[in-house]
Amino acid sequence: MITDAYRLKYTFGVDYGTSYVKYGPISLNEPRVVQTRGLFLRDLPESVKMRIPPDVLSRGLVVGDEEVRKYLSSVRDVQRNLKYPLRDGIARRDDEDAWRVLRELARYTLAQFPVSEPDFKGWIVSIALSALAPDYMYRSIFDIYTELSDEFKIHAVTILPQPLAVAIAENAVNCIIVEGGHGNIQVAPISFALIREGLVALNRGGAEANAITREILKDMGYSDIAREEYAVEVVKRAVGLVPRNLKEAVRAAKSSPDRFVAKVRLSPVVEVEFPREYAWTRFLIGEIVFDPNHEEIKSYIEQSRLSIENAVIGDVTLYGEMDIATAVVTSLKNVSVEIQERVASQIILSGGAFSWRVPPGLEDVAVDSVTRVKIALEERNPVLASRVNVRLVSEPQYSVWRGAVIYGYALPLTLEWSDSTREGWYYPKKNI
Amino acid sequence: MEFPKVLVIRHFTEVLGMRYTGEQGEVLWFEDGMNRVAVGLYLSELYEEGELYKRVAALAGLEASKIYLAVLPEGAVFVDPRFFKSQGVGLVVVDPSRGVDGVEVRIYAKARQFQAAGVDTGKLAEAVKASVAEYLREQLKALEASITEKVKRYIDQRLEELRRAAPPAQEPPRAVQEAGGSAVLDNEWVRILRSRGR
Repeated sequence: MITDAYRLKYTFGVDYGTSYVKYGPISLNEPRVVQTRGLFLRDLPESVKMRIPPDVLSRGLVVGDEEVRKYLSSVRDVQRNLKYPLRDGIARRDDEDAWRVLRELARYTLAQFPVSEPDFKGWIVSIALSALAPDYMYRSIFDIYTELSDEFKIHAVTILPQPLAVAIAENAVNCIIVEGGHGNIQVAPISFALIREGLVALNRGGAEANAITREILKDMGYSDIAREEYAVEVVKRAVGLVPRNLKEAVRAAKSSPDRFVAKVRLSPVVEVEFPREYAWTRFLIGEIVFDPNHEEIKSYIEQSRLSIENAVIGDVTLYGEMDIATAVVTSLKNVSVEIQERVASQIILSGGAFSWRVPPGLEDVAVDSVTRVKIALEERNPVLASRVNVRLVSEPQYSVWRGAVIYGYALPLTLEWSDSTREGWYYPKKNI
Repeated sequence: MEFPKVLVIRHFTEVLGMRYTGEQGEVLWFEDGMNRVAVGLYLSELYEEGELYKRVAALAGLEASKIYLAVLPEGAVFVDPRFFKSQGVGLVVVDPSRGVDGVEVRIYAKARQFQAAGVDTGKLAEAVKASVAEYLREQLKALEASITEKVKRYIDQRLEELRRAAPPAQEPPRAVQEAGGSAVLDNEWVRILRSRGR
């Protein structure tokens, strides 16, 4: 008999994010974090092979930040052998390497928490996947945990969509979760469960902000720095601004550019300077996430220097150019009219694409993500804007994991997994 | 004969750095750190060898760590330096005609054991016993405190390990306690999810 006390001890949450996997039992205050990547030990010189433990060598693959770093210099073709299995939170069905990395990550995360207590009957694993994850991903994840169930004693496994986990962590039963990731933005209406019909995805996110930062750097003469993703990310975080209104912000930056010039020190020897004539471009970096439909941004697209297009994952279309307010309204339109008002009562923003700050002194033209979304909604639909409460999640990095463990703790174990409702528990032992 | 005396006092205090503590008859007393220094004055127009050695003998009977005899240049000829050195007695020659430079320590005195006043050994033994007992008591107290501290730390550590290894069921961990800032029972989702499948 599995009691509540048992579940408070042995529920294990895993959040498979595109960049990081957050994992750990419910008893932790904060989950552990590991990069979502694996290094294949192929093309190794014989002398290096001799130094690698036989069990690692036989698996041919390592995961874990320390472990990957340890072998990185030994592998000849890092580009080919360092694998990031998830793109926009999705692993392709036929990408065997990606699935091998995910299997190894699943093993690695469980192996970090060995249990020897006599009362241990097996982990109750709760996994958070992207809301866009197609059916085959659910199947394959269950297969992985079935494979591992003997090695690590797994009692039951469930999968929930990441926006639902955020809503649970935020204790919001009726809301719209806007999850802004690196590759895409998902707008997910929630009313006691995820309303899949209302799911709207944008093929935009932090990556597009990086892309436009890269182009601006090239224009300013920093082509060498623009090649390094890390440097671009640092510059974006340091200088990127979200405008209250792009046209007015650009006008202000062009009329008094001295207020907006900025310097970023990347290393003791490298410094990037946004000079007076480029100071206004700082607003494009933030704005592209919320609304790319501006002449200033379109000119980059027309010159083929940026690509913002629709994409299809499974049966979901990811819109390239749709602005945030339209996405929220479109999502809401697909929710039953009866509950629309309740669902629209709060919009919760989560994810790294929404972490923008306002430098002191620029409050008249720059805003944070919450204000920007409010302004966009007011322009698009003032009635909706007057009734909605927009806020940011309290713990952007860990809220999905926290929601996953609470879900794992509360969902009745008698409820068996159903492919149609995508809810319930999958019992690996029954399915071997 | 006051002037040579003043010169001697000045030399011993200002040049040799001793502290002048007073005089008894023809003996000047100084303190050199913890040591008492006696300087006997024999400043006469006419010197007698017998008288000079009598004075040395008198000085030797004083309770002083070092003894000097101060004489005028005329008296220096009666001094047998070998005797003075073997006895550890110092010799100071004072020439008032040369003013402040007229004082010269020809022979430096050696430290000497003088007969200390009789000591009550019983009292001494008592004092030693008392101070040893006090010292032992202090050491014991420190030892006791350090052992208590170590044991306490050890128990705390073990308890903390146990607590970490097995979080008590009555106390839900923070992941559950603070879902969105409220306790698990306040999280509406727990109630909603519990009702699924019924």
